[in-house]
Formats: sequence, structure tokens, C-alpha cells
Amino acid sequence: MKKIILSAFLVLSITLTAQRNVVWVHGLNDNAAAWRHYDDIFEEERKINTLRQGYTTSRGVETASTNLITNITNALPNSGNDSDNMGIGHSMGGVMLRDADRRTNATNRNFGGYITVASPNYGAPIADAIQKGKVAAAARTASLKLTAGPAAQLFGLTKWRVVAGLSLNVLSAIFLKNGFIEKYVKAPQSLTDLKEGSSALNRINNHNSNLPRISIWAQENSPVHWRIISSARHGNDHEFPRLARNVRGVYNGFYKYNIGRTIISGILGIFNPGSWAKAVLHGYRAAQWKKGRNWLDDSENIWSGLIKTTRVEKQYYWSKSWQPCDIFDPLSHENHSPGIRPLRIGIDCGSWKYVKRHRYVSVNYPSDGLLPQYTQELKGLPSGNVIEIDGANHLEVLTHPKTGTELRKIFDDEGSWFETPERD
Amino acid sequence: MVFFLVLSCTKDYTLREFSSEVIAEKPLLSLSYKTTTFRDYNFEPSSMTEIELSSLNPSSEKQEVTMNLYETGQLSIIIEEIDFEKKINIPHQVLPDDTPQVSKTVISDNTIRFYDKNGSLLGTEHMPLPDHSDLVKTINDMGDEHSDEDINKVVTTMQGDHLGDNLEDFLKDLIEEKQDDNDFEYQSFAESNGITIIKQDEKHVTLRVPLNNINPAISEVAVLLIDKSANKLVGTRMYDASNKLLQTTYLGYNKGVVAYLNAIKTLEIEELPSGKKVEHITYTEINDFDFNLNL
Repeated sequence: MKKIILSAFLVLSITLTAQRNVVWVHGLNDNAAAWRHYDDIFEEERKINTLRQGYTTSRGVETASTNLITNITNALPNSGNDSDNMGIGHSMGGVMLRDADRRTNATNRNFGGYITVASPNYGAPIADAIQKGKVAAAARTASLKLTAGPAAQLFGLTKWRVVAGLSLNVLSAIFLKNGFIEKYVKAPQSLTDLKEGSSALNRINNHNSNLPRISIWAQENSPVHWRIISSARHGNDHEFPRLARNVRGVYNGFYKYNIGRTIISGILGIFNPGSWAKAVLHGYRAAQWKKGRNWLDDSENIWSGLIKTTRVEKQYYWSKSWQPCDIFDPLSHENHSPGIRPLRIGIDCGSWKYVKRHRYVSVNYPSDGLLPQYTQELKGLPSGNVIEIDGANHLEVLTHPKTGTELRKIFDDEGSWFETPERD
Repeated sequence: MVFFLVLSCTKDYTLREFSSEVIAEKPLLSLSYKTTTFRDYNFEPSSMTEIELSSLNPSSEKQEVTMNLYETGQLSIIIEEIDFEKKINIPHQVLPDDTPQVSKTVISDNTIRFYDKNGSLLGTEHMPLPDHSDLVKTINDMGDEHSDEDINKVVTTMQGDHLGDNLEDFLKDLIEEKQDDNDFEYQSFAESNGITIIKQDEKHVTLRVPLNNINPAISEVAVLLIDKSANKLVGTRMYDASNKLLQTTYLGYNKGVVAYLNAIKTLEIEELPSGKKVEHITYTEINDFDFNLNL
């Protein structure tokens, strides 16, 4: 009996030593559950020993990477410095792996190679936007624009829900309270470290690593902001875009309704001039609803400005304009209209015409909804070691099917350091 | 009696009468038009940051809107999106959006429904429209107070010069003209509604109308610029309770036989979070105007 047990122990030991340790590292203020989905899949599928723990990530990158090194060493007493160990880090987790790489050497390093997934390698512009109050300012602007229509229509703002399951105050605060920005706000030191050009990131990026590395970057489809918020709030990337579309429809409906009422009141004013006051009121209400609708249309671009996935381009476009013939004399009611410029009436007043204009406009480029492509891609790697996952946002990439597909390709890459055989 | 204006791109129009059976099924008022809207901003580009520019992109859109008002006070709206040439296209969406786009919106019975281009229902939401019994009453009163001929002319030509007496009477009710050392001053007789004349000349009259006349909860004040000869509203301004200008609107009318509203230009100063100010301009062009009264 003892022989049988001993034999079984030996077989198990041999099997274990044939497996490599894979350390799954979560991102800022996330937890050990972040990588559970693919940990479970690949632990069953591949010859790996998995290590998936929680780390203290809110006190800066170096504290987090120290925590990572300590945890690996403690959790893997016999193989904590095995050069076959592989790290896979999501978001700040990838930066932690790189910092651990920088701070260790061949004798005490905890892993021999690693994969960064949607990591802010060269900084997360959102960190700067949060710390400088730009996200909060954007949320305040959203609130002003989204409440303008309902307020002008005299709806009770506290009671009026925009659409089922989404109240107005939730929508206007969504840039700040969405399930992931809060996590960042609560980690000021890490935010400082993750800003572009921070000393922490400079130290990491000045280190020339010779370890095998792969950089996975994700890009989300439009609307990137509603999709990532949806992933945080609903666990999928389509629920919130659907709600946002309906909200937009409601705002557009009220906008068009008030324009229609303006036209009707304008006609009725011919019979009773008192109706023209109603035309003014409806016209004003229309403009207020349109503000909210415009904000919803612009919100992806505004969000992209906060996460710095916009660039400014000079663009020519045709805009149709119309010049009124009647002068609204500002002097006639000077007390009520300071600073109003008198109109200059041209010979083509009263006519519509297309005017070619140019403008420096804001144009988006790829991101995972939180990080631009340029910071996710680790520089200096062979082109084959930079992998794109399209259709996934920063949160979704942890469970997105294409992430599994790409990891599987990496593990199947025969002869590469990352090759990790399937279980027998 | 049905007053019916159909104004297509060719600008022809017709007046039709329907049988009483048909009338019973018709809305009291129906309005349809195509609207092309251009949004733009005036500002000094060099003074703007990239984040600020991200909310100042120009845009354009075209829709066909149909609105029906019924005797019950119910109102229904259909909004259909239309593609058009020279649409302002800012390539800010590098990645495709594979979510279904709303092509048609229907609002009725306090519900808004969204449809895609294939007519499939995308979603519904509760959308409480205000009560329109006051509008129904206004229209019915108009039918009682004016001749079919007058109404017919307004509906079929959208011209109001023949009803200029209405405006004159309205102004007379408001104004006491006092001559004092050859200066003319205007004071309101109707202090209860607070409407005053700011300025008047041969062609225009400018009125100041506190909007609490319409609803006591509204504190804003409207200023109306009226073309007296055409009997048309041609400009408006809206002020808040502290006399801060909120919005200026100019209205333009078709120059042909049918002088329907075909231009709305709205100006509004917007303050960005940084405190910088930009001028927000919206141009709304209206075409294919149909208006039908079923009195």
C-alpha cells in the first residue's frame, strides 16, 4: 500500500514539474477574480500551475510590484524564481510585471517572460484627466446639457426618468460613476504613477528588458464609452449602448416635438399674435432638448478627449447657412442684451447657401475605451509579439473570446518561449 | 371644412375638402415637413484645447417629421432619418458601430418607439408628452372667430398680411400712446400680463412678453420682433429672470407665393468648463411643407 502511495506521489511530482507556473496579475483596484475566466480555462487545458492572487494596487506601481514579487516568492517557495514562470498582466498588472522585471535580476527574478494585456505602458491619459478635474468637469457639463431640456419643459427632475432603468442624474454622472472610474479615483498614488511621463513609468520604460515579452492591445468598436461603461455596469457591452440610444431618441423626440409646436404657434400667431409668445417658448425648449441630444451625440468624442484618443485635424466641409433680412436692433432693448452685435444685412439675405468652411476638428483613433492604442503597444518588440484584439474594451478583454483565441495561439507557438503544451 | 396645404419641392399646393366620414378620421391638425439642420460653432480655434474641440465639431442631419393633433388632445409624431448630399462628415468614428441605428421614431400614446431601416422594432420607452387640450381649444376658437376664407388663405399661402388687423388690434389693446413734447412713449394697458412694446416703426414692432403669461412657473421673458406688413414673427430673444440673454432666433419665410417658414437660425452663447465662451449656431431649413387643418 505504501509503495502505491509513494508511486502516485512520484508521478504527481513529475507531472507538476513538467508544468510551468503562470501568474495572472490583475489591474488597478481589481482583485484576484479578474482573470478567473481564462485561468479556469487554461488551467484545465494547458500544463500550467496557476497563481492568481490579489495585490495592493492603490498605493502606487512600486508598492504593487513589491507586493507582486513577495506574493510570488511566498506562494511558490520552490519555484518562485523559475525562469520558466510566465506572467500575464492586465492593465496596471502588466506595468507591475514590467516593474518587477526592472527591479530583479537573473538570480532573483520571478518569471522568465510575460504578456501585458491592455496595459498603460506609456501612461494612462485618463489618470491626468481625473487628477486635473477634467472628468468631473465633463460630468458637470453633461449634467447641465442633459437637464436643460427637462428643466425647460418643466418636468420634475427628481422624478422624471429618462428611460426605464436609467435616471437623468445617473446618466449625467456616468463619466464619474460607472464602475471603473471610481476605482481609479480612490487610488491617487497609482494615478500619479500612471500619468504620462511619470517618474515611475520613466524608470520602467528606461529599463531595457531582455525577457521574452508579448504586448496585447485591445480596441473597442463605437461607441467605445457606452460599451466600456456597459461592461462595468451590466457585464456586457451592449446593454448601455441600447439605453443610451433610447435616451437619445427621447431627447430627439422632445426636440422635434417642440420645433413642431414652434411652427404651429407661428402659424396660429397670424390669427392671434399672443400665440407667438408660445412659439418663442417652444423654440427655446427645442434648443434645450437639442443640447442634451447634441451632448449624447458628442459624448463619445468628449470621452475620447478625456482618454486622449483624439487628434486634431484640419478639415473642410460644406455648411448650409442662412442670413436673416430683419435687424434685431440691440439698442432697442439695450438693458436686456448687453454685448449683442447688430446684424449686417447682405444682398443675399433671406437665402440659403452652402458655405465651404474649414475647422480644426477632433478626430478619434483606436482605443479600448480607456487606453489609447499607443500606450497599450509595448515598443521595441518584434511585430509578431504585438497582438491586437478587436471588438474588446478594457474590461471586456479579460473575458472576451478573442483574448482566449490569441492566448491559445501564443501557447501553441511551437518553439517560442511562450509555448505551453496542452494537458495529455 | 378641411384646409389642406401640400407643398412639395415643386411648390404646388392644393385645397381639398373631405366628406364628413373622412373628416371624422382625420386629425384636427396635421403638419409634415423635411428639416435639414446644421450645427456649428464660432470660436477662435487656436484658443481651444483638444478636449474642448472634441465637443465643438460641426454636424448636420436631415429628417422628415409628421405631426398629428387630434380633438382628444392627443398628439402623434413620426420622425424619419434621411441621408443627404453634403452631409458634414467628421471621421471621428474610426471603428465601425455595429449597433442597430434608429431610422424611424414614432411617438404616440405617451410611448416612443424606435425602428431600424428594415422596420424592425428596436425598443420602446415611456415618453410623457404634455396635454394639448389648450392647443385644440385655440385652434377651434380660431375656427369660430375667423372666416373660412381667411383661414383658407393662411393655410394655403402661409401669408398673414390680410389679417394685419389682428396684430393692430392686439397692439391697440396693449398700448396707450401718449404725446409728450413730441416724444412718443408706449405703456402697457395690460399690466396684468406685462406685455410691453419696446420699439415700433413702420415695418417692425418689438414686444417684450413675460412668459409667466403662459405658465406661472416660467420666469423667462421673450422679446418678439414682428414684421407688421407681413404679419409674421421674424425674430425672438429669450432672457432669464435676471435679464441674461439665453437665446436669439431669426425666422425666415419662403419668398414665393406660399410664404411658409423655411429658415430658423438660432444663436446661443455657451460657456465651456474652462470659462471660455463659444457661439453655438443652429441653422434649420424646412422644405416640403404640408399643413392641414380639419375644422
